[in-house]
Amino acid sequence: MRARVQFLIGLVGLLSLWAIAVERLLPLIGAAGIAAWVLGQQFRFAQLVAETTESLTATPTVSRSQVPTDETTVVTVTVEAAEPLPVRCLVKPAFPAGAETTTTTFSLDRGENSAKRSVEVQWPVAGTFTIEQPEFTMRDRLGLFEQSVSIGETETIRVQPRAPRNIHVGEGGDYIAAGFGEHSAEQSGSGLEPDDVRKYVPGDTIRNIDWKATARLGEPHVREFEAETDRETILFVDHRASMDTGVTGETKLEYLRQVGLAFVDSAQELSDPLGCYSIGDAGLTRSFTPSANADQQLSIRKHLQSVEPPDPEHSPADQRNPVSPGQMRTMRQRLEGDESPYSERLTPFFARPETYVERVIDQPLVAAVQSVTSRLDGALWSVIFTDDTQRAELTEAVKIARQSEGQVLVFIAPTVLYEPGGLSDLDEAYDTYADFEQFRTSLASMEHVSAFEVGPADRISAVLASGQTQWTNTGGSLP
Amino acid sequence: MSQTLQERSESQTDDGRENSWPASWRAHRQSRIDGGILLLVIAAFGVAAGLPGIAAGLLLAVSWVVLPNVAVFAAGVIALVAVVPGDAAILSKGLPFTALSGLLLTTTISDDWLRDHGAILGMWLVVGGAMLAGWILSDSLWISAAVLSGAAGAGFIGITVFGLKQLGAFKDE
Repeated sequence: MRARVQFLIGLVGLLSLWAIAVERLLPLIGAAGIAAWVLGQQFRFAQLVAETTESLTATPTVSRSQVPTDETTVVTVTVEAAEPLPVRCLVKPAFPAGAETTTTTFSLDRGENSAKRSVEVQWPVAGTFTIEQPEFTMRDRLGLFEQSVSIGETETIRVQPRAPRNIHVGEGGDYIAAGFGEHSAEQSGSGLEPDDVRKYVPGDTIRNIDWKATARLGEPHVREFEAETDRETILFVDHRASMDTGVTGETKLEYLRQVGLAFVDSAQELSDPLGCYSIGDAGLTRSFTPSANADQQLSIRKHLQSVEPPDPEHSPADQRNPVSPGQMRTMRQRLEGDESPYSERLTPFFARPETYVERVIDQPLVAAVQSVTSRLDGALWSVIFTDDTQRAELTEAVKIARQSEGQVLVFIAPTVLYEPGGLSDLDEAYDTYADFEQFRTSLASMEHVSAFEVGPADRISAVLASGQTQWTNTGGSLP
Repeated sequence: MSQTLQERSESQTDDGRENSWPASWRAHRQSRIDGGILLLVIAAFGVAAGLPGIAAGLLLAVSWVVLPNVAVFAAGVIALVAVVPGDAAILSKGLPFTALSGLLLTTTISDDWLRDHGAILGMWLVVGGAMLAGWILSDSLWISAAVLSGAAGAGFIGITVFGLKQLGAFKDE
């Protein structure tokens, strides 16, 4: 009950008491008049509210029905009435507790019959949220009565946690199936999987004689089984500052983390020995020597799930990318015919190719790969997770890794696919991607090396589509 | 956020419109003056009580600038009891009271005057009728006041329930 009505009820009471005090009927008739006036206004207000409620429709609409956390959406509340409103309405959209917004209420004056209000709503919490019916608060023009009622439709929005989605692992934009799983040694021997039947030769164990084949073929035959190996896999996980590129939850490291975890799954399933070395700006930050031990693999999983790039404030500022000997040779040739002071000044810097080796050997990834592979024996599967910012360093690391007579898998996050601002200039993005692809191909062309790009599938599709358009527009000549 | 919302809803809406729901009394001042009811009340008081009546009527007119109609009506009833003796002719009391009653009909809740006035007069008939019946039957002001309170209270609750039913409350399962 609003204060004005309370005042009037008090007035009725006072007049009644005064009538009794002065023993006059007139004040009592006056009190009855005031009470009747209040009741009359209340009755009419109830009627008006009912009429207004029937004629009103309210529809909240969201600009996107699915958003990642911390994203902002525009919620538009449209209110329409069949007739001009007889009372003023205050409209309050009913946002769920998981939403953050500063502007909420708006009004419809008497005589108006439509209003539209758009508000920006931020969604910091993941989940499915319902924007309930807007609440209409109606008050009569005299300010005596107030009634709140929820009218209209509801709207649902799904807020998803920020995490890599639609991961693309491929070569030159072509998606590849997972490159991990059961692995044969591609040679016959003892094992479990039946391979082939061959004639018995002296020295074969009697256990391997295939009696059915011997009976069928009339001479002794033995069945061979496919030999399987325990593949010793080492993960090199680069988590330097450059791996933090991308929007929160969808950085290079987040995508590569998912691929790395798939390797852990595979190793756990096949009981393969698995090691893991993470590389920060200052070198190795954590190491797990290869082991098939379930506890260690669990530790590797936990480590991969929690590894983060360093705080930018504590990252070393000097992140120079050494120039490769090939590039140095090209630069030296360019400077040879030039006698300008500029050329004289620069020539000494490109005169000693060995400086490249000196500098690159100090780079954290190269140092880590060299240190680890030199300590371990046998054929290793080295799996490197990094980006394309330190190309010379990565090339050198791959060269060192393949020296251990094993296979090298390189999963590279192309920086162009992770730019936080999105792909604003697709043509430029395609050119950058083409440059990356050249680099990836150069790595993949090395013997025993496979190189893959890892990134958001939608972005790589957009970039490749842009390339297709360029191709069409330029009549088939691309940079 | 909730604090911001509360502050805003009390003062103004987010789109900048004033949320001081029409300042009812002041907003209707001009229409009251235009209605001429002011002069009618002064004249009726003058006829009923002479010079003191005119003085009382003028005082009510002044109070009208700041008070709502219904409060001026209450003040007018008090003034009427003060300046017109209880044993005066019924016309002397009835004329100013009728003029004062016009005050209750000069402010309406909507633009539908007929229905607004109909509702007020209908309620007055019910509540006033109940009170008068109590007076006639008991000849006691106490009982009349009690009947009035009961009728008003029942009416208030009844209309509240009616309003909620209109909005879909108390639906049968």
